Amino acid sequence: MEFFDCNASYGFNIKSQPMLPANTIEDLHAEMKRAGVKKAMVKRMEQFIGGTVSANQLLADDIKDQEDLYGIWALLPSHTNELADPEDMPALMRRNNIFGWTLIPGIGRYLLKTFVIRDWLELAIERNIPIFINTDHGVTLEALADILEEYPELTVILTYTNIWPSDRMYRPFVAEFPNFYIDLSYCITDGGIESFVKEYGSGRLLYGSGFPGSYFGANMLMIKHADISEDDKMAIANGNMNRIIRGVRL
Amino acid sequence: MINIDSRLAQEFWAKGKLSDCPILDFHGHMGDNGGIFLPKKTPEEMIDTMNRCNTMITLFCGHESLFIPSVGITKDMEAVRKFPKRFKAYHPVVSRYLDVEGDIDRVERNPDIFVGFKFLCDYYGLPLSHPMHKPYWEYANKNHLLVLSHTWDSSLDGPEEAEKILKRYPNLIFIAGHSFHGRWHKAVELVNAYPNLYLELTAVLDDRGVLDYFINEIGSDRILFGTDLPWFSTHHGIGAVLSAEMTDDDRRNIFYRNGARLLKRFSWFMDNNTVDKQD
Repeated sequence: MEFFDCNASYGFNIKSQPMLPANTIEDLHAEMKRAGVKKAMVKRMEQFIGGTVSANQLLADDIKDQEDLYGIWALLPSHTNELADPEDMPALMRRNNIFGWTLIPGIGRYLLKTFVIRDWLELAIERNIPIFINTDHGVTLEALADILEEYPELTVILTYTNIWPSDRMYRPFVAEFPNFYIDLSYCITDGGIESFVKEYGSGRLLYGSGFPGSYFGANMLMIKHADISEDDKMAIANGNMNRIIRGVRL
Repeated sequence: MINIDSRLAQEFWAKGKLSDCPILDFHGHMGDNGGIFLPKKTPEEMIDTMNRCNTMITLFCGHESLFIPSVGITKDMEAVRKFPKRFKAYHPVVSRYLDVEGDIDRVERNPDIFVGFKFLCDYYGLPLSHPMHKPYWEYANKNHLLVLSHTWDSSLDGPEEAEKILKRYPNLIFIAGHSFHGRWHKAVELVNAYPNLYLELTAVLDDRGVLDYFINEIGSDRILFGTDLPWFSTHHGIGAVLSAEMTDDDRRNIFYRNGARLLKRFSWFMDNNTVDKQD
């Protein structure tokens, strides 16, 4: 069973260093190999602490030639012209092995309203670019709901950073929006996968680790021995994330 | 695969459970909880999970026992009576609705049900060392019982409060649920100072590196496995222990051996031939 991690990071975190840091791409690769993780969507921690433009570029420099890593760039409003123009963005992403975006209204200090990021949202829909939402980065579920109500076809991958069982929070999003996915990094409820799959199928769950803050292997074992079919396990472990990546048009 | 350096990890990966490495879960709950959706919260559903991981026994205190004192602990006692080889209970110490004589009498009269007490001071807003708790600590100390306390970075049940108890009551076993979450260095200090303190791993195992740190500083003999079942997946917890840096012998200590050493004080555990054979 191959695993494609939808939520891995590395880099230097000046605010809160992980107990076992993964500062470099080599550190990340070594741990992926030890755990048996084949592919990962990756971010650099500096994207959420330091300069967004610089950190996006650092990430691109690291992974543009890595076949097993797919980058996620942090977005800023285009009004300040700090990132590439939306029309130039797809080609730039293709050259740098970037396959997703994330929103950072907290550290980026911008308002999370559709009129602020409308051009990015429209491009995301046009090109099937997934948007990775992490609630630690200043995105509230209320703001996300407002965006999705206006752009219901957006592909969104939610990392809800609370290990308390939270199905009451995210199941309504899954029911309402057809391209809404759940990263399992913090979803470790006993029987949670089985219960979710019974209601909504396996197509909306993605293996995620939260590395380096969490171990790769914990959620791997949880998925491997979930009481669901082998096909469902494969979808969660890698199939759904592979499908999302294949659908991106850059 | 989880961990290419661990044979135990590879065996768990292949089978999901091992007959020669059972699990003892020292931190469980049961039943309905207002704030969360729990798909497998009945005794039968919890046993299904336990069977899938070869968890032999879960020590628990039901949500209703802790949060709905008017319901009390009837359901916990019924669950243990129905499944005496799979569940034992911590009697709740519901700080704001204590019935000292009744609670202690209940524990005294039901040694096959209760292993000791459960404290949840952060939730009730009163400290571990509050005078009204004294009879419970004294009884546990006199009878060498287990006391599971929620412990966090808190003025109510953090390291400073726990140390007051550990100084006064050396004969009870103080199980620090969540290992003084966030106060990892202080947890190590206390383990080194007090031989009756054990660290329990619920809500620790989602933080990569903490268990590695504990093993490096204090070894594996004073660490107990726990999941908050029916909250957190047992396989998730097993996977984290298998991922952390330690030997497979350390992992067997955490999963079973340390707990078995503590439970041998109870006649029901000694009488359980299946458990003895697997120790």
